[in-house]
Amino acid sequence: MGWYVGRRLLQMIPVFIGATLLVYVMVFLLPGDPVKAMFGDRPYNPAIADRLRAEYHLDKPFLEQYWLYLKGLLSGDLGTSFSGRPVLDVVASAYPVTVRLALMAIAFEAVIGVTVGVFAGLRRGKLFDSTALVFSMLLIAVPTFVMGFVLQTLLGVKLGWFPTTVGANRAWTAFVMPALVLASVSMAYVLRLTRTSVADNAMADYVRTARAKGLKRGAVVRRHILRNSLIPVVTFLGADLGALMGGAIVTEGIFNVPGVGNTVYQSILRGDGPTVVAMVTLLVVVFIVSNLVVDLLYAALDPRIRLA
Amino acid sequence: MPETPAAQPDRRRRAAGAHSPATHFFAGPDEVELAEVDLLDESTPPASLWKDAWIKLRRRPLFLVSAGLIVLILAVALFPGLFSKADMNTCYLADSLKGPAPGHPFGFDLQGCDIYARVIHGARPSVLVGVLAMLSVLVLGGAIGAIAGYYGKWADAILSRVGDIFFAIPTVLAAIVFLQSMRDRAGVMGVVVVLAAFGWPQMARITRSAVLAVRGADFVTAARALGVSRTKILLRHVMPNAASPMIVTATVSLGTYIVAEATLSFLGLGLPITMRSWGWQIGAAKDVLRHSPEVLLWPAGALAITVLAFIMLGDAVKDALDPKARR
Amino acid sequence: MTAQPAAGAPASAAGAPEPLLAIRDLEVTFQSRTSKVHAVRGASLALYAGRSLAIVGESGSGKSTTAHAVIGLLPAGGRVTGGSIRFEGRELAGASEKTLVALRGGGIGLVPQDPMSNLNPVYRVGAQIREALAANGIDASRSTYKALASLAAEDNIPDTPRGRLYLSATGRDALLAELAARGFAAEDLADALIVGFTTGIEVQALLMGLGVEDAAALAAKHVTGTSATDRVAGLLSEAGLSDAARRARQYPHEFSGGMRQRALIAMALAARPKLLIADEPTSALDVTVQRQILDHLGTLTRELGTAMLLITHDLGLAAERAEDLVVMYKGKVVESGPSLEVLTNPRHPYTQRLVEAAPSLASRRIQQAKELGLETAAGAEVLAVTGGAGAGTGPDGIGQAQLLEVRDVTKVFPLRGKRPWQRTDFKAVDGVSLTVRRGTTAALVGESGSGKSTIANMVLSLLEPTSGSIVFDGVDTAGLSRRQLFEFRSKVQPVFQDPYGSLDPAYSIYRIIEEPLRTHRVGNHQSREARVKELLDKVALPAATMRRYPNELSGGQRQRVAVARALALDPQMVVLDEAVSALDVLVQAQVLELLGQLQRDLGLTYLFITHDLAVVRQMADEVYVMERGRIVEQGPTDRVFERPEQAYTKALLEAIPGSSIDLGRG
Repeated sequence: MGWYVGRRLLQMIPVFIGATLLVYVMVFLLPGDPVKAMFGDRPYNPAIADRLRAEYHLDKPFLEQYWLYLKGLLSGDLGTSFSGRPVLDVVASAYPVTVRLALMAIAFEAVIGVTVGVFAGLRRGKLFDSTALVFSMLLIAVPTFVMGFVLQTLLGVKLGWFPTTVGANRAWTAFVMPALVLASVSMAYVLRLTRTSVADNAMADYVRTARAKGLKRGAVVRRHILRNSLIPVVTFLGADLGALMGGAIVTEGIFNVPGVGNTVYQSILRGDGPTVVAMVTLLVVVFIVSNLVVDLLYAALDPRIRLA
Repeated sequence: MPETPAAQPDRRRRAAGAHSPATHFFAGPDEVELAEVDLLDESTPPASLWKDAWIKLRRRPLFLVSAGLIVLILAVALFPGLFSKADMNTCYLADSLKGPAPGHPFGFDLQGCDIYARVIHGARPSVLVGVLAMLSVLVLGGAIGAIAGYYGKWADAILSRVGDIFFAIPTVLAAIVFLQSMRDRAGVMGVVVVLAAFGWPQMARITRSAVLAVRGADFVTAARALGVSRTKILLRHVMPNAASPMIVTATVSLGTYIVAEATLSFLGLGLPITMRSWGWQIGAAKDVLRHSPEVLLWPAGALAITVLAFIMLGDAVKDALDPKARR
Repeated sequence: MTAQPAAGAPASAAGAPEPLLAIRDLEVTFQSRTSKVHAVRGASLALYAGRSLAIVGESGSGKSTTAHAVIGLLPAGGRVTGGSIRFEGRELAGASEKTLVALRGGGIGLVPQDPMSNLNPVYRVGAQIREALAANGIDASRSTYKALASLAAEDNIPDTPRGRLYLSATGRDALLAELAARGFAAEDLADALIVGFTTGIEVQALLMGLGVEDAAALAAKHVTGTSATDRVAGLLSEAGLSDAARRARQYPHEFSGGMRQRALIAMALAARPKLLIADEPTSALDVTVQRQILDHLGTLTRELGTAMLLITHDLGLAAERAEDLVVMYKGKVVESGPSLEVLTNPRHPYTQRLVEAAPSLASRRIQQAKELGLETAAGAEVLAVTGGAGAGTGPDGIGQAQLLEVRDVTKVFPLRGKRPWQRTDFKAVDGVSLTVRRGTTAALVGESGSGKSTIANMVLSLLEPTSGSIVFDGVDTAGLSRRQLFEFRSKVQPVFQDPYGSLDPAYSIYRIIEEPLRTHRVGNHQSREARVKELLDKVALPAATMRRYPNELSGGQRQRVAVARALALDPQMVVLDEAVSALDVLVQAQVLELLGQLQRDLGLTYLFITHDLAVVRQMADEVYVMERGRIVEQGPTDRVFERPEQAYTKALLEAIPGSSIDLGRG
């Protein structure tokens, strides 16, 4: 177990370095002068520009810039955004919001996706199953931003059930709609995964053996079909956390959620490199760590997996 | 011995089980016709795997509906002129947000442009980006996954880590950064390149596991024992048998790339505005959503139906190619 | 003992007891969206309480379907469409799920076919057995062992409810401690006192045997019934698993195939069913394990008075293990009756075919012919069927040249250890030497994991030996250049076990057989096509087969195509790696006959790798027996079968099903 975690942590290092380097390259090497962008509408001043370049190490060769950045990162210094605000502050205000949003989305996926998926899987080929399948396809096919606007207009404006935007509102009700929208596509995948898994397991030999023992149908479903079917679903949900946090850009934009997605998007538009790099780096870390946790979770749920 | 079962030939009782009337019974030879051992069934015409799948596919309503939709969508994308005579860029502000009128079945948007014409002309860029991105991912991810799975060892370790790196960065986020730096120079190729660059790891993973599953098959060993070269085995034996999951993934991903393009265009970063893709139309319509939702719903509906068609096709193909259902 | 016939039961023969299970004109239909298959077509059989009956048939005969219909667990799409199934006089065909649930476990138990997939991988084995107790409301603390009363009577011990309580783990410890304190040799008793299995009566008898004065009081003091956990351990012990308490806490993947099958037997018998259905209970296991398990199953069902319905494809096994036989073919019962009677006097043409083809019986027949010193017509005929053994009976062919010589070959696979830098070596093959003479068959026999397939791969030059050398036709294969290796490949060809995996499903039969010719650039398009037709003809398949695809052929046909592919380049030697193991008996006999024919016609040399000794008797001139990577015995086939020298070989021979049957003079 310990060795397994160790090996996985070692494997994470190249992925972490590679991913941050990739982000760094994209933000800093691609055309467009960030310093020029910093001036915005103000007139360009070469002296100030040079000073800024030195301050942000932009006058150094690329690899050295990256090295300095990595060093700062490892000592907990995320740098300063082009607007002069410490990136750590930005992170501290944006991350908790997105974490809350993503967790709520996962909860929706788990409750709705798994429940519908289980019933569809147990009634494979029946009306309920077909309906659930069509529902899942629609969830995937309707783009997030369309779903967002429709829900916002319908439940927010017309019916007034939920606040239309989040803003500074931290009430749970404010997060219901964005979480539903954020969850929609993954919910469809959870539903389909659960359905296939349940239907496959229902035909497994050990389920027949369980019935041959004289177990009642309810007990067979609960103890044998569900327990085994939910292993891949739980791991999917775990891995989805990272994906949801990084994929919240559109949803956060629509519902004006001051989270990671919104902040990154605004920073990209402003050309604020340090903020973008720091935020994306943290997303990569969340992604890598949640995948590691999922692997451990998998081993905990399925005794066949030996961590060696 | 044409005896009937009723006239049982032997009514001997076993000494051990005197109370058990176990008697020697046998069916008349004419009752069950004895077939020749292992006779080849020549009643059906020969059918390859792919033909088999096609026969199964043809009968599925899901396939018929999705294939019909896709043919229609491709026709619209290739020949928009056949479906709409109106010019999507001839707009009169006087028509702003007007309802349907003769020759303008969907009405007009904020700028007074014909919504129907725009929806029709929006198909081409969406489908173009979707198809090109899917093909690039299929080639790139398929090749990398095949090499990683087939050659294993170091090739696998390195390629899998590289895949993890690209997989760890959210695609839409990467696309936004990339397209923002490209500004207006991106165009169709820019969008395709960034979607493919961050989309290939998924295809590589699926190809890799499919190749791994086939690599150990006895027919591969048999080919090695015949002296067939490694590369030829990969191309002629392994890849054709690893193709089904790749095809299914590619079909579904075509739909998701169309959504991704729409999302980017919606954010104002995707295709050039002049292409008027569905995503851009939706983005443009969001400001008037509250009083005239239909302006948004037409392009959104077209987009959703296109994506739905590809997802349905993927599902139908998956069922037809399912190895569990064969044999 | 037997239940009262329910009202409306069909009048049985006057005076005869009602059968425990009576199936009449059973019809089972599988309905899918596109097709309808009649799997069972009017099958009838009767099984009486406490007796055993075997249904024999090849795959697709409807034998398993009949069994599953009895317990109401037909696979999806299957339905009983006619006839009746009566269990203790109650109709089960069309019975409600509630009735069936009540009956499963306690009334009818099932030992399934594949031990690998029938235990839930996420639960401990003990928990899965405890479920069987709980589901049937079994009182885990006391026994319902039928023979207990008579056992008690033997020792003059009154059969009281207290005496039927099981010994618990704590009770056992306390008892042993008290005995030790009193100065008795308790160690002798330790093995006989099994937690959750030994009852008060038995403890008392054991104590009396030891000379304990107050045996009754001491037994009553320490034997106070068990918890479910102890009883589960007892059930596992009963099924022949040692160290049961620890085993119960393990997961299925920590068990070997044989251990899992024992756990499944424990599970099926936990609720003491009146009828046990054993569906090919050992076909996935090694022969020696198979024998142990069948012995154990037989003993248990006899002692418990459980009736057994055994489903098997092996006629020899069926006859040996069951009192009565039912032979099924294409969903119908073609013959039934007392086992020996059916076996020695088969009346239906299909049964006659089966009796003739069953390798276990054929091998037994050769054996008996030899023992009787009779070169009977029947015996000679059997020998003649397959060219191999005929050559072996010759004057040992000293003049024949060696084609293959494996010299002291070892193969070591490195395995990953507990820590990343640790490697443990696994010796799959350990110093093996063998020779195969031109035009003869050498059989390499061993159970799973013995290393026999590793040798096959080394002979085929698909795997390099760690040490030792393989000399083919006078040339060491290790030193071959690329060019020479390519040449070598045309001389040695394999046929593998799995008829579903050895042909590329995307290739037509023509392309499959043509591939070796194309690869080695033999002939042009026309001559290759002519050659493919010729090869198909050699393996007795019509030329039209070449336009078909593997998924359209049966297992036996695929295996014949694999043989055709192997022969395409006129090889000198064919390595048959379990080539007939996955085939039905009749098809197997057909392919074996074909192989014998080809050997005679083409002068082929075979290296025949198998776990099935019965087949070896018919095929091989020389036998090598492998155990854990080493050759433990070798010699001419007749010698090895008649005078085995090693215990392992003897065990293997005894494990051939049907070896105890006296076939008379057939």
